[in-house]
Amino acid sequence: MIHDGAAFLILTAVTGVLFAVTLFLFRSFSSHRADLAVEASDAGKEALAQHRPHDAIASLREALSYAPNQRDYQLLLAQALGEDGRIEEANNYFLNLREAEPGDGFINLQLARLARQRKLKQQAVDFYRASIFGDWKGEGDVHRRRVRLELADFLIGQKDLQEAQSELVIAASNARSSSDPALDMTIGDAFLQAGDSANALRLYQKAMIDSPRDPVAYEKAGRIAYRQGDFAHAAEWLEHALRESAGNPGSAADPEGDTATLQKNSERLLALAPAAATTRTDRVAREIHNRALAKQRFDACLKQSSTPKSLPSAALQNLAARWTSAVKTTRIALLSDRTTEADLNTLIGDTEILTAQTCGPPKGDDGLLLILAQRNVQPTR
Amino acid sequence: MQVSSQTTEQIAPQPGTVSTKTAAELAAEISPAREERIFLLLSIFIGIISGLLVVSFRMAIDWLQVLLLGTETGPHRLRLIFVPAAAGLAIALLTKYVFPQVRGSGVNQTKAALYISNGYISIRTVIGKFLLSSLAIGSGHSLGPEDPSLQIGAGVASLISRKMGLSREKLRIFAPVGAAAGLAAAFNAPISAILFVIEEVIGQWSAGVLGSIVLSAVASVVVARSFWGSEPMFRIPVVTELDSRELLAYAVLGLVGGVASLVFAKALGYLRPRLRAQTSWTIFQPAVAGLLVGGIGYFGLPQVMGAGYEAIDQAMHAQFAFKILILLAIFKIIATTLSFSSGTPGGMFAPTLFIGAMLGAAVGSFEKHYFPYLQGSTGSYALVGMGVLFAAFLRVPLTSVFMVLEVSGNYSVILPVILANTIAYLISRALQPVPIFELFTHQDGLYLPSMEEEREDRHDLHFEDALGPINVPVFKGSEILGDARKSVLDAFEKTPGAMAALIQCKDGAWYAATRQELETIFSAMNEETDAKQSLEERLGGERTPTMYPDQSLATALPFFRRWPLIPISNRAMRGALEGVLSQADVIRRYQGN
Repeated sequence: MIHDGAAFLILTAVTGVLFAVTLFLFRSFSSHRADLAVEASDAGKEALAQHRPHDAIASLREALSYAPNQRDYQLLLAQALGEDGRIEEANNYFLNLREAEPGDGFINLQLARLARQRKLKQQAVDFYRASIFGDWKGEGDVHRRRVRLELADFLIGQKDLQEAQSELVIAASNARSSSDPALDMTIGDAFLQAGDSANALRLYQKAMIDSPRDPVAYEKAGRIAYRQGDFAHAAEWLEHALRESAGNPGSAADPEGDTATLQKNSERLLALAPAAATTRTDRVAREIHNRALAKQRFDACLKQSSTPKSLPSAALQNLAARWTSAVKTTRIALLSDRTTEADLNTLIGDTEILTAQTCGPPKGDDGLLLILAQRNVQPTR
Repeated sequence: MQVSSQTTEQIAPQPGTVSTKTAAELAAEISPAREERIFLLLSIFIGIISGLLVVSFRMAIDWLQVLLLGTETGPHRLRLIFVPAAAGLAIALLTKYVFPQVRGSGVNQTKAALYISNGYISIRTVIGKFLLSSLAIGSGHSLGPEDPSLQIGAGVASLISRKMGLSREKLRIFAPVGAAAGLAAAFNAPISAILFVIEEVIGQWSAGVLGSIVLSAVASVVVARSFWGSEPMFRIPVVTELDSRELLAYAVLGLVGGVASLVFAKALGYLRPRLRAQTSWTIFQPAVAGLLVGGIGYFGLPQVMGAGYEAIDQAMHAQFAFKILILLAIFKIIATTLSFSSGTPGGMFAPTLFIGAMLGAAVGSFEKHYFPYLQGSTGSYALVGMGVLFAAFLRVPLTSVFMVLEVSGNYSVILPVILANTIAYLISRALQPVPIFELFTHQDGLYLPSMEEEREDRHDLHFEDALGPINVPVFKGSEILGDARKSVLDAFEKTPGAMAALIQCKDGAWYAATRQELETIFSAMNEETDAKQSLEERLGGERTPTMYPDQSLATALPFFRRWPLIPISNRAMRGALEGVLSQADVIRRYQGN
């Protein structure tokens, strides 16, 4: 018994010493591996930042071989795989990471982006939504809004405008309390892309209030107003934009022309539009002026389309018949009879539309009359 | 347990005798009880020390890997070629001049120690195994650390039990106890380690040793986890719910795994003895193997070098394309065949898992590509593939199933695992009758027990295999002696060759009597007093033991010292006989006639 007791005592002592030595070596080993892992991951991060995903993958794999359970490295590696075009591998990697943390906002966002690249619409939407409602470590509201805007952008790309607008409405609602003009502008732009110019205008107007010296908000709002036929606001906001941007003419590539032209057109449209007249007399005067312009345009077009061998089209002939009586309508008749006045305005509009179709797009005031005519046919976009 | 209780009874001190015995005699007498007492405690110590050594062993491998192969992981680095070659040369020299017993994986060496050297493994072998295996694996030879860990554990157990002065019987028992501890720590999977030792080292379930194996395995895993953490060896991928149609794909995986294991085993079986026969350049074989394995790494597949755990992890997470997976599996078979056949010390477990994971992931990728509507993840296939190769190549079907479950911690893969493993195992058995570890022992000139046969108990004959017809006279025990004498004498007269008879007693028991015994009874019978006594009363209370057809034939022989025949009863109808068994029948059956 004494012999056994001593033997076990020695065995315990040997085990203790062996444990201490192993622990010492293990700590040194772990610390060395941790250093190597940090070194490799730093190289990976740098490569990723420099858009060298292939190198980043090698470095991050090395980092993970030293620290296999380091989640940050795993996320970076998965990200690098995605950036390197290895979509399937990246997707699998993120799916595995998601298994451990199904509610992680970042992982779900990455999976949504990968599903987007793989053209899996429903999966992408599901992951985007999981990301929006997921867990974000710090600045959750900012991340969620960003993801929501990305989802809206994806839905716009998928021509799912109704869904996109719903997401944007929520994003705008969440942003209502903040006074961040840049954010308002971003959401406004998204609304515009989603075909909701009314909400876009509302956001631009908010940005105009929060940042009155920002010409971009004014310009964008002015353009929407112009498209909506609100030429008074269009002229005002575009003028403000021009003033604040110190004569910057804006984007000439815009189908409606540069800002300066648009502003001039707005003012001219205000001068031409009967609806913008302050008195009835003024309105009739504008109608008579517009009649002269339209008739001139009609005559020119009729002449252009009539050759010795062919007659003008039936529509033009019909329009010619209507003009025969219209030219005789007096100022008094227009002042006294609203129906006659309305008929004249209709004739002017029809003339501008038909001549544009038959003889090409008009220029100058005729062009503006055409805009007014189209606005009547299609009042608001 | 029965033996020990008998022993305890035998050594129980008799009053008045203690003072007459010497201290040595007393120690010898109490020794078995002492061994029983310290047995379990020692198992725990063996587990702890084995765990610590295996942790150090793994550290040594990782350290050497960084030191020798560098921190980069890509191909096209010259050191990938030169380091394994140089390490191979150093290993060969050390093996030849310092550690001659460290060749091979460690499993067979442990079995040899158990069955040939009474569990003796020298401390030099343990040190050699530790150093040379870590150098081999760390330098990029395609081998694994699990089997050497098993031998290190067995070596620790052997050393401790020797130092404690245990008996030969206990020394032999401690080898598998240490082996389980070493393997459990290396695998971080105690159940698999225990099952492997039972399936491949001991060959049978033994209640006497099971408790110790469990204790040591658990102790070593606790130690290993206190260092490495409780995470499993591999990061387990998402294991999706099984679509029953996928079982077909898993069956294909079993087929592929069975064939791959066959190729692997054939390659090793062919190359290993041929290289061993080339005695003149044995010293250069590990270096040449290192050069070739390094070449594979240099020219594009560095994943096949070393144990390959990172590559297994990547395969499980679908990080390789189909073609790469197939290439990796093929080149891992080549690299491991070269490394192992050259005599470089190191294990087969990790390469087996590697090949299985690659093949599994390949089947999974194929399925995903051509049958995208099936939801199974590539990782599940890689996981099952590991088990498949384990079952087919190492021929440990039970361990292979539990290994996958234990490593994955997910029981939803149990169906595919069982299906695929069974198919692979059956293919391997049909086409490669001799298991790989047994083949190696034969190549080494050793003839250790075949664990596969031990497990299946194929040669254990039963009574029914030797059963003969009832061709001896049968009497009723209730007959009175007066009547019985006449019928017995008549019967023996009719069958003069019969040297025994069966007497059916009242309670359904039988008495097998010799002719001489009956003749003696009747000749000694007193006509007046005994005539009315029944035959069974005259025979006394003893009866021939009741035996049944399914009992082991080996247990029959001791009965023939007392009984001329053994009546074999039907289990459903007590007293009804299936036949009789004589000593001659038993011997004839064992002689194969």
